[in-house]
Amino acid sequence: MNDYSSDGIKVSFLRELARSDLLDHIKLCEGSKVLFWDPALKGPFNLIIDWPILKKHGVVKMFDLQEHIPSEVLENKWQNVVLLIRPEVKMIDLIYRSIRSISSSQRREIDFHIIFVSRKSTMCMRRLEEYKIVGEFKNILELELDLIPFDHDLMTLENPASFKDIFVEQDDSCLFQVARSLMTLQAFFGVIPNVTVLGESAKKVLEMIERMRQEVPATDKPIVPKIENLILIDRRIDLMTMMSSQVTYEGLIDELYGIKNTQATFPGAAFQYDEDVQETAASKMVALNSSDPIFKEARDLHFNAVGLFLTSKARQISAAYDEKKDAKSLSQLKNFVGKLPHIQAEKRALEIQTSIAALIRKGLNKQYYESFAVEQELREGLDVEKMNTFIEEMIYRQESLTKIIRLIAIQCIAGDGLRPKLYEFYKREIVQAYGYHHLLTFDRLEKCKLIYMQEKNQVISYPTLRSKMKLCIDNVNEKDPTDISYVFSGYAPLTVRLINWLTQGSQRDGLTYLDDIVKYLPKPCFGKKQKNAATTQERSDGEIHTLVYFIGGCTYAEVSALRFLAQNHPNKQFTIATTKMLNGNTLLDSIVEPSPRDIIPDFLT
Amino acid sequence: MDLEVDEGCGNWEPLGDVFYEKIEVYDMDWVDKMLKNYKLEMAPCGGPIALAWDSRQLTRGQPRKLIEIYNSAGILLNEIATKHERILVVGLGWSTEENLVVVTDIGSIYVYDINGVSLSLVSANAEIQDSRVIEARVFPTYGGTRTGVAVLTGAYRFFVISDIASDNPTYHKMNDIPGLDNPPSSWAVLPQDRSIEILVSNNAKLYLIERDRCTPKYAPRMHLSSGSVIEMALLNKTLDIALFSENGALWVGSADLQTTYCEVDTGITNRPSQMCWCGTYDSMVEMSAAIALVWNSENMVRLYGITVTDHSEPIEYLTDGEVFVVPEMDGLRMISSKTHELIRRVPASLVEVLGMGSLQPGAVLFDAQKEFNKGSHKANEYMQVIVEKNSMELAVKQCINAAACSTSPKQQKNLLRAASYGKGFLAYDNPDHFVEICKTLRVLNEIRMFRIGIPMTYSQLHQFTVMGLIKRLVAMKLYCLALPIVDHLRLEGGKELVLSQWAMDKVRQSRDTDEEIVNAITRKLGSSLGDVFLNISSVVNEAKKAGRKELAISLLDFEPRSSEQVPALMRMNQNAKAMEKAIASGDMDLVHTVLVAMEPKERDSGKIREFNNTLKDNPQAKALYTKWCAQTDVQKLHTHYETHDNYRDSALLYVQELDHNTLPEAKLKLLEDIDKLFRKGTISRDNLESQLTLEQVALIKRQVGLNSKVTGITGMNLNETVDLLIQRALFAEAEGLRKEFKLSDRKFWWLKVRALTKARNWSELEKFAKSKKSPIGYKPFVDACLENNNKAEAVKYVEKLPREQQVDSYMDLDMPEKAGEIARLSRGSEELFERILSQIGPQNTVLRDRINSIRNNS
Repeated sequence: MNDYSSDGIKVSFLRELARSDLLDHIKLCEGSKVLFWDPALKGPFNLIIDWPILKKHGVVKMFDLQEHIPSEVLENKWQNVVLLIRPEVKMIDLIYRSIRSISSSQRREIDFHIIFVSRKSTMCMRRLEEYKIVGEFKNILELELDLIPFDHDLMTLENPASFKDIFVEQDDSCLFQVARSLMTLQAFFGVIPNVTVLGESAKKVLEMIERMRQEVPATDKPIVPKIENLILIDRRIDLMTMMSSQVTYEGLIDELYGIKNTQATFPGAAFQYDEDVQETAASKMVALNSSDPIFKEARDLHFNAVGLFLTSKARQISAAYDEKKDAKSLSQLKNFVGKLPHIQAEKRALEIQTSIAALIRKGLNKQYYESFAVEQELREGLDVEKMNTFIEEMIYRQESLTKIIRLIAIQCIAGDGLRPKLYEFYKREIVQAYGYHHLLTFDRLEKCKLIYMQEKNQVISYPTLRSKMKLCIDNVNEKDPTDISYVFSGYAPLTVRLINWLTQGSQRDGLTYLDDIVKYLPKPCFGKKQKNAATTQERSDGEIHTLVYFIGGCTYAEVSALRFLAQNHPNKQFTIATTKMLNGNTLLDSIVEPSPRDIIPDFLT
Repeated sequence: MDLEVDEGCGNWEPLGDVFYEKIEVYDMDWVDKMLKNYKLEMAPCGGPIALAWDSRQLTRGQPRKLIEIYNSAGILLNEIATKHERILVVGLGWSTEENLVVVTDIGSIYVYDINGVSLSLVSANAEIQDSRVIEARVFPTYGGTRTGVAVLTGAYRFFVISDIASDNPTYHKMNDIPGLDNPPSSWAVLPQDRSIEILVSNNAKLYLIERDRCTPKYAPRMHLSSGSVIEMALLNKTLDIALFSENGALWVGSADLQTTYCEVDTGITNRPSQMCWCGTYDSMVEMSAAIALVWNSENMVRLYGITVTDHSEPIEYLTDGEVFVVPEMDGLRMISSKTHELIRRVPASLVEVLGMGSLQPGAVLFDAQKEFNKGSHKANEYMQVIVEKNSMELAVKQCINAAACSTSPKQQKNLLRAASYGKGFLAYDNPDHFVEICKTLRVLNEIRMFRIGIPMTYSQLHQFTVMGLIKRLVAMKLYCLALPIVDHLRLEGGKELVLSQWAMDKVRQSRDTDEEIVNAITRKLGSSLGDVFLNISSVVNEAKKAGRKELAISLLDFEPRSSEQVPALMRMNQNAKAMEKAIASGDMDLVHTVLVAMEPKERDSGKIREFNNTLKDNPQAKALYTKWCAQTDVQKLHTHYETHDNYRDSALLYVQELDHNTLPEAKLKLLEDIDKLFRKGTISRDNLESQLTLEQVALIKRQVGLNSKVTGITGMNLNETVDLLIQRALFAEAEGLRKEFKLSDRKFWWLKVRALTKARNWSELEKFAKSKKSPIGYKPFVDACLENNNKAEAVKYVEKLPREQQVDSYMDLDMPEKAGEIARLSRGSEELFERILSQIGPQNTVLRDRINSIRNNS
């Protein structure tokens, strides 16, 4: 397996940075401390720091930020209450209610502190002032945490609303965060000489980093770049991939169970292999990252290849156990015992992954396959201009709205917009079946170009891109793939195709090479050399490092496809950054207007 | 005597085992200044000289310009005139920032920069003012980072300020000295880490006073005990002190008077004009400092080495008229009305190479080079000596170091030539040291020029730092010299300092138009912008101070840091521009800051218009404002949409609020408003939204009518309503909805089939299926029955399916036999049979056989 961290691109430094920052902030409060977490921050910080370290630094207890201060805090006379929040107005509202839940004399007994992750915003400070509670806080601090390392080659801002913020609400705050995180990376790995911009928000980010670089004086000895290429991708370049159903192992876990901060929760009953354990927990949380030897290899496979892989692994492991029988001499036995912990760890991991795979196979019912077949047809451009009866019937059957929207979006993207009659039809049907408030949903879908009405002079680009970039591939070999299109059973993500072209060894200025493609992509797309970058050093192995930044979100399928590319092109190395790990469902969760009544049956959980 | 010797050690004079030399630095430009009428203070390291009219000389025509500032070559830089009629300067000194500190007879402290610009004023308390100051000292405190002042009043009390640049500097009274009723014979300030002490001599007694304490000190033994101390000189760095008593004894030791370094009987009992240390050294381990005593009455300066014994002779220099001596870290400067001379201990590196009879490799190399120049074969012999001893590298190094310490360019050249000659014999040589020294010497020689007048030695520059030098040059407004030096030495942060100060000066002084100044600044920055970080904010502040607001605004354009630029623009009420810059920065938090500032608080139509225009021009700001309002104050958002005729968003905002209005009447009213707003919108799709809104109106009206029959129907959407009606068997009402909302046959059939199965109304379902040919086929019937767990009913409808669909449905119903049969009838493929078989599984052999027999029948 390819190890991306081999050549100095160690993203784990981000973790160290955030950890020491957090501890520095905590050290500012003298005495016993209670931490109150913005629930959305708990997951990311789990990856950064653990309880024993916090405990060592005087943290006595942690809570979710809630409407009131638990009486425990007062009873135990804990001295400091540290509130860790994202800079969001609703968090300030919550803090207000929370600290107002105890009397002002009680408040005087406690020192309150706010730590904003990752920056103190004017909006929040203004809100605190409006509530007249700024004075209640002894410290109001910032903790700069932008990119969170998810794996050795994957970092994310995990900004949950990034897609909606940027593309629906035109709030560019997130882009600034992207730019800032790139400045941090460049401070460690050197100014990246070649930048490719794909799409409008990518251009904005490049402008910001150029500007930010002007703000700091150039040093005499710039760091020799460890990363040669930066590809900034506006998610709108390729929404098709975002809406498509993933069929890789990790992608499917995400689609069916939802991976949050590299962890997923499964029904506990599925993990009953362990005979020693009498009772099984209601649910089981599994960490999914490359430290799991089985998952590391299975994650990027097409799901159809996972069964075979797990079986062969099982055979290997039992063969390893059999060595014990064959071990005749003492040294052989010693050798076996030495390997035992490793074999046992693999066995445990295998058991867990086998259970997960079984769960997923169960989840892949007939409907999933039918729906996938419809997706495939639409992507291939089959009857995209007509009403699709499968979608229609899904509406009548009142199925998951997210699924329906995903299919309509795929149809829309494949047809470069929906014909007006068709748009009207889908919209009316959805309003009638799911509620009037979905006028808002459609308004947002239109703003981010997921579902929109075709205009008179609509430029037709998708069919050209499909054929020129070979997006749809027949007869793909899922078990022993030769092309990235395996990640969607015959559909190659446009983003990864573009990245592949842009990193062709001899043509680093890949965009000129892609000239006749560029005009079919959302504007602007261009390549640029950053000023004052130190000259790169040819690596002996000829490897070229590329940092790919997905602005607006990235799917696990794309990550898998990029890893596949790197594996098959020994000189390509990729590090992936994104604003959020997403799939079609999680993306739409932020866009679909929630109903006041629970009229949408939630098939997803 | 050989010529070269002359420029070497000819004028060295031994003092103990070290040499001292006197170097003529300048002939003073001030030509025969009557120095005895003045107090003179010179900043260390060849700094500027300040002259103040000595108040004691009051009677003879006091000049109007009280204080004059010269460079160290006696060129007048600036004059300071005081506005007040009668100011008597009692004390004078240079602060650590090289500003001039002037203490007057009423205890006021004036601070001026080198250009004579007044920086600050500290006033004394009434007690000092009333009793008048008779003596004052300016001295470094806190390890040389701050500047303090001590005064002695006419009532013989001491007052001290430890940091004149602090926020609120005030005099603190020191403890009184018992029985002090006449001026003390001498005193010295001892700045300690945390407090300040003063050593005072009175009537052969010594006292150490602090703020709350007065400790009598016993003078060290010998001659001193028999006479009072009339002169003291403190060495700040090591806290060592020199005392001179009225009977001509010189004592040197530690400031706590516990350790004695030396005692000398000078044989002169006249009060010396001045006593100071010649050279300050890091530690007394290297006990080679000397004490200089000046007797202007005798036209004589004497140098006593502090390690020498009582019997050894001091070096004596004869002077011509009044001289002032100024201590330096490596010697002292002697300023007279005619000349400026430097007396210093000859640096060890120079002695090594140029010392008489030195056998150091450097000395041999120096000689070899001279011989080589003459074309003499001796050169080879000398070089051979060095090579044999394998000490060429050391030889080169010694020559380079000697060059660094030399003050004569000619001598520097000779020494460097020797070094470079030797370098030729080295196999490997790192040129850095050589290059560095050459560069530094180039700078030293440049600033030593008469016009510039900064005669620093190499060691002084080392202590003063290049940055310090640049600061001094900038303070003297010698930008044109400072900039090339910064470039030449590649001083980090130097360029920004010089350019910023230059620009500030330009803004402060220039009478040019704004445009000319901006152009001048951009021209200067033109080549360097991007790699130099100009401190624009301070330049801008300067422009504001000078009352040139427009200029300040134009200059802010060059501020690269948005976080400085935007607030600065806002402070100058340039909100529109601030917004533009905030947006360009991409930092939405800054945009928001501007929004907060711009948002009109009261009904000021001008401000409201400006705010609205800003939002109109900046979609990003608008997006942010919208989001902020949506989170905190929806009413504000409504107003915002209304003012911008944003009908569509306005309508959608109402849609979002709909849920809060539970009463159908209120809902209907709101929906009508929404419809109106949608209609006002001009884009065609708004018509669709209007239609959907009207449909919603119609639906609610229907539901209100139905509410008596079916409670809880209000608030449902159309499909649910139809579904519920059918479930409750209200078919006529459902039919009514179908007609009103023009539901397609397909849709209605779907809804009805599903509603009937949910209600388990199997008879009605059957009736419905038979009512006419189904427009949606019968598969939905089968699926719906199955979903509601009624296989028996499902089977009924499987039969109505086309045969190819029947196979799958029978399999769903777990009737493989039936599936097999149909497969045979429809001449199904082998694959179909395989699928059936695989569903049965390998165990159920009976069933497998049966299917296989069916298959073979075909």
